[in-house]
Amino acid sequence: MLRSLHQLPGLLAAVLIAAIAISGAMLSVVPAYDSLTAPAAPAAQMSVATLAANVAQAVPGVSQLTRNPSGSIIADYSNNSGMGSDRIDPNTGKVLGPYNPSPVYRWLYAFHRSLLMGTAGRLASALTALALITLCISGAVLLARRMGGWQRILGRARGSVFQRLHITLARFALVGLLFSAMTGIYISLTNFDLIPNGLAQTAPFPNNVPAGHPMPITAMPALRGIKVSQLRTLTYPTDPSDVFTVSTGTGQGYVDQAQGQMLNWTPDDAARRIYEAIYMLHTGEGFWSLGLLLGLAALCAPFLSITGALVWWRRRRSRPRFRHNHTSHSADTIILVGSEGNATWGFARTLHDALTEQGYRCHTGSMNTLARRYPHAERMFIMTSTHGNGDAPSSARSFLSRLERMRHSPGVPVALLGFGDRQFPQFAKFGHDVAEALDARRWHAMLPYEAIDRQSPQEFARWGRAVGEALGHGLELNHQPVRPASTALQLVERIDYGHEVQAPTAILRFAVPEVPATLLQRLSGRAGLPRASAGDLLGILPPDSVVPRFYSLASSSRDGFLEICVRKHPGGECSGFLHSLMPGEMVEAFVKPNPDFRPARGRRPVIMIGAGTGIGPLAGFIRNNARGRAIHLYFGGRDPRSDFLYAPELDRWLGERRLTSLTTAFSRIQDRAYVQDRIMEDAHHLSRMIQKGAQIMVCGGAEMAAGVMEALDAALAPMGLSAVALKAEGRYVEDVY
Amino acid sequence: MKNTVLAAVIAAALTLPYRAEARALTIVTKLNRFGGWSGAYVVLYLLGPGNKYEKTIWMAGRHHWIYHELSAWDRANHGNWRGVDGVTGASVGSGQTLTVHTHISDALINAGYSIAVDSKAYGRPAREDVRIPLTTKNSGRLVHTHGYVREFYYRM
Repeated sequence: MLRSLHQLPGLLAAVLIAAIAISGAMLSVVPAYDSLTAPAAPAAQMSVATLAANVAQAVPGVSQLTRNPSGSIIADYSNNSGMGSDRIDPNTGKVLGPYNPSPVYRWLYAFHRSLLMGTAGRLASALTALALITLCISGAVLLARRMGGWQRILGRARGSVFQRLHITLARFALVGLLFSAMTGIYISLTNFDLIPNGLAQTAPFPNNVPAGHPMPITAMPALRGIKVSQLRTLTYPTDPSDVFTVSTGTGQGYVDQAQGQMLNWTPDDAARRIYEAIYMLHTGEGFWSLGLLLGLAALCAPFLSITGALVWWRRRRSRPRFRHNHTSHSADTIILVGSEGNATWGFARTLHDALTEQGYRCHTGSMNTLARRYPHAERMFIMTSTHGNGDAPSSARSFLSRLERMRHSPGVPVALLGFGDRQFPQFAKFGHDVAEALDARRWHAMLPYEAIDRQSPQEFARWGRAVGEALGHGLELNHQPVRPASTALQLVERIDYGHEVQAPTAILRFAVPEVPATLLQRLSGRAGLPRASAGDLLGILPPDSVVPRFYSLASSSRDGFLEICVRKHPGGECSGFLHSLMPGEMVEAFVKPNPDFRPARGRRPVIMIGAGTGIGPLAGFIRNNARGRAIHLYFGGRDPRSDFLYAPELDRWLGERRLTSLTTAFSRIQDRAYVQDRIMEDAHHLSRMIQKGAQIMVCGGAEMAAGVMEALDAALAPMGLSAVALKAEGRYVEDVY
Repeated sequence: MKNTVLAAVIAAALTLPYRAEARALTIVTKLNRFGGWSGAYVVLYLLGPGNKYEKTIWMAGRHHWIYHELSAWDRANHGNWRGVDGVTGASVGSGQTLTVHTHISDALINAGYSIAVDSKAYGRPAREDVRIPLTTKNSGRLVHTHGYVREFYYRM
């Protein structure tokens, strides 16, 4: 709901917002330029009387003086050769030169407020401002929701490149855009006469003007009493019986020529004062630094439109499609999916299609769309995988917080199904978390919680039969997993470690087999390796399997090869297959981006901690550290003679300054130690670096990661820092398995 | 080009309260290239004998809070900007021409009445551009000014 409120105006008004924002950004420079080029301000006590007399002498036929917000003075005149305007030196009243506002500026001004289309354009401009307000507010709420609360709204942005760009720009520009849009819409409303602007209010023309011979302007007491800095406009009389019309920042009135007295002075009313304050805030006139800030924010708007549209397009393209997907309001069966890749969506589709065939009206959506109410629901299914070390998958990230905000349980039977891998210590952990949360809220269980191991179609079919029993009729869930699209890679090199310490580990290096690329491949630029950075995941499909296993990449595709570190697990189907590979043999593989596990941008030092195969992605980052950023590596193994992975490379990288320091810990030698012991030894040094902004990257088994976190927490506690706080900032990232 | 003839508008008929024959009156006002940001406000009005304000023929410009800046018209009209309801239109751009068609009672012609044109561009002072008696002799006579109005004539 909120997301559509953000997307709809964003997509509809994208072009208009970009056009008005760009013209606004260009106009925002004008007040700064004017104040730079404005002549020196007159002496503080200089009165309008002096200036008016000076100008009357210097400019024959002067009819009006105007003081612009930047402080420059313009005199309008008319004589036998026509009308014109001059710029005036406020100190002497002398002419500085003709006043010709730039045609570019005039065009931009007219474009910004009416798109050069008259009333229709002004209406479009106002609606654009309204769309922008909607976008700012809905975007801020979406951002707070995404970051996990308003107090964390400035935390590290996660997600794809476009999402991070969108979030970063939005955080910078949000306040400025909202401010411009709101002041802009106020000005629009006054232009359409829906809010009074007070400009129509005039001082009543005096009925009795004192008659007599005009006195010199310099002697007129009313004009002597007004300082030049207060002046807005002064209109000269057209004949000896006429009056001066003067308006200042506070009001307006008339000055007679015979006695120089102020007649019918009328202070500005509240509507006018409000209008002028808002006009000044919108344009930055007389307040140029604000104008520049607003202009900078406006400049972000087109980029926000583009990145927003790209995020929307990618989301739309990647959303699985379902036949006969009813809305959440009309469906009697709700299926919610928590998925990181696409596998769980595939299972959901099988369930959706089978139930639809039985005549149920199904609604399938992501767990993040959990609604407060499902008016016609009679049953609910929740299917979720687990991401990383027991975290929520991307389509379920906000599920638990949404659940917390639900006041009532839906009161219908719910079946919860987890997906996971029994080889991990925390099997289907997120599914468990959801089960506990549902129990705590007394949701009715249709079936006890179950978890499917490694996408097994047999287990899924068994669960389907149990669902069928609960529904009172047969249900066949015949799931045929789709094998992910993959590339054939050739093993070009393998180095074996750790055999002697019962931890057989291989560094496997893959490349694209040497076959001449077809013309089409060359033209489309897709010949060669799939695009990947160190830290991304390489999905390997063992023969006869549709279930990929993921390994962290120790190289990027720019290195010309894809490298992974694989430890052989007893009974491990995929690690066994990989360990049996000989150079020259082929595997089917694909790349899955993992953008959250990267060294942060910049030149701050990075502390990398890895044990066993966890060194893989860290080695990849070091390999690509050509700029010589400070990287401190802690490596834990069993025996330096057997499983010191990357030992020769690390030595070379130290020499090339790609690696700053290397600290090792081995657990099966005389002075046995774990990597967390080394961290405790270096606690002082490490905490100093972290205080100065260093980032921490941890990769390895869950047990080691927990030990490292404990050791670091102990080291950081004296400074009031903690691993959890650093994680929230994005300065402590983990890749744990 | 676009700027030769822009506005051709029909104003309410100008009649006095007694029955009389009326005839068509066309008023053409061509503006200078004053180069304003937006269009100029132009007001055409009828003055009676002794230059007493009678009636506004046409007000070009939509924002009522600008009207009072046409100070001669505003004073003659005693600030009654609502009196122009029904005879207003868009402001007139730099170099463009405003053409107004109306009907006028025969009783007003050659009877001491005259047509006045005042104008102003955004942020600039107002001008009293034209004052011309409403006579059969003046029909078709071209008036030039140094203000915002470059050429003016009426025909009936």
